[in-house]
Amino acid sequence: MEQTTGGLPGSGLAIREHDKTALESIQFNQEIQGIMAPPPENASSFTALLELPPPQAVELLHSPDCGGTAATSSASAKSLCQINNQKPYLFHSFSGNLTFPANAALIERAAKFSVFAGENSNPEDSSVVGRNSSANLDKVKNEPPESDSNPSPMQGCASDPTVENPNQRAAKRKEREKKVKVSSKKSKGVADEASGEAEKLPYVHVRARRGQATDSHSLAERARREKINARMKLLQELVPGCNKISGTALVLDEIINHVQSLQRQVEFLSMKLATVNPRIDFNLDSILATEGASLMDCNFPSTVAPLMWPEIPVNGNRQQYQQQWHVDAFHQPLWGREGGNHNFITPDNSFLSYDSSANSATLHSNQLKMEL
Amino acid sequence: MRNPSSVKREFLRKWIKGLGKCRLLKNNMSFLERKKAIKLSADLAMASTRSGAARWSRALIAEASSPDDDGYNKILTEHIFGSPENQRPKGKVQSTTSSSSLCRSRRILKRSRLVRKVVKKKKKKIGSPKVMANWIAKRLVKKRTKMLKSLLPGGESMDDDVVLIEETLDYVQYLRAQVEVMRCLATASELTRNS
Repeated sequence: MEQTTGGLPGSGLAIREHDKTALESIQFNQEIQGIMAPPPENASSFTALLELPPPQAVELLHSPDCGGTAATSSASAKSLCQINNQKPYLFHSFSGNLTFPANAALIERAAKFSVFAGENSNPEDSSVVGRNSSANLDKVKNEPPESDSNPSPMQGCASDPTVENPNQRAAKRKEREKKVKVSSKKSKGVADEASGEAEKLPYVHVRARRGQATDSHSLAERARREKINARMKLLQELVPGCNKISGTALVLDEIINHVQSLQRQVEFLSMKLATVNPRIDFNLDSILATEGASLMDCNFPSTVAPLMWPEIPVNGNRQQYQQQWHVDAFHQPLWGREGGNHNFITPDNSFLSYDSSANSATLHSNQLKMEL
Repeated sequence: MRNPSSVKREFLRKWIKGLGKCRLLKNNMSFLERKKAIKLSADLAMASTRSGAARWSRALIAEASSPDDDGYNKILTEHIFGSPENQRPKGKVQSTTSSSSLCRSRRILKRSRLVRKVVKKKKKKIGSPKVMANWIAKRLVKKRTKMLKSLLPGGESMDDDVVLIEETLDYVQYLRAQVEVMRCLATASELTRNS
């Protein structure tokens, strides 16, 4: 029985409501087989197709030992509430539209898959943002668990394709539940989602709000938009002074300015280092001997920066910017060390003035925006 | 964020090593050469600290090892990475060439699409001011994403906005660490020079 996702519309158009029961469950399984590459290779018969997902589901369930023993859908809904607040809503919608037991079992299975994926991706704390975002999760209202599990596999580190696929399946099945008619558009939307999210996310929870289009296109788009908004919020917190700004374009402006200023600082510092050393030999031992462990702590920037900048009248604004940046991003400035640091202010003046003209333009605009 | 001080420490270590290798390559360097060597080794150290898990780091290494401006960059990079690891830069060079051709074709496609879209929007311009405002906002955002792409190493090949923002997040954090370490080193070496 050869059924691809592209082939579904042909059978779909023939569906009428009273025939939905058996046909739709068949459809689900076929589409599941179409999406998941490894298992269906052995399945040649129709009944084999039907039987494959449940035992596989059971196997997947028991391997990570998720403890998914909830017998009823409501119980599983409650257990999943902690993972995704949107689940109960979906269950309600399901119970409203569809009244046959086969789908309830499928729902349960899909729900358990998402449990599995959630637990699988959470320990993957390999990304930079993962830990950052865990603190910021509460602010991201839209999809708190998604932003938690998403930044962790952010780097494209591969979850198993077999793990991802059941959850993609869950997401797609939800979309299908909402639509009355199966059309070609849906299958295309499914393909888009599969390609777009196969490498990044374990699963997507898309909630069809009341009065909004349940088109798979708009659902996918809305999910994408929410993802982008979540990331933008993280960026806003990272870049200083972005919290008060509303509007994507302005925030992007700030981010661009920040990145540019950081890159220019790198250039400038490398130039300074080139002048300080006639030959590029940074004798770490001598440096460490004079300064001890403070170099590694990098408390220097916080002490040095406020002292270096005030000498330059042009960069009066810059001082505030740098100060804020350092104090925000790093910890306590050691004001007690002020006394010993005056001696290197004068050699730096020339460099700072060189760089000031380049930086003051952007920094001035930064200051204006910050003061607003 | 993974432990920031450990990141900085590793970066510093790699950077010093890279600089030492640069010095072995050529003993009396002019000011500009020195600056280039410092910046290059700093960039490479930063990128290798990230260990290629982010796209920008790979792109940074790739464009450092690509043969341009009389091959100086490439020589330095190969020297820094050491001969047994020469495989890595070469592999990256291939990826850049293929990705650059991909970029070019993508850019052509985008331009044609953009032109068609602009024409359509102009026709629809007679629509409500809300629609117009929406369109203007979208254009602004698009311009800025384009600029961000040009800033980010390897950003040209990231079509997806989500990926772009994630990479930017990563890159900003690493840039910050790099600036801190460089500043530490600069002030410390100033102190040792003066004292």
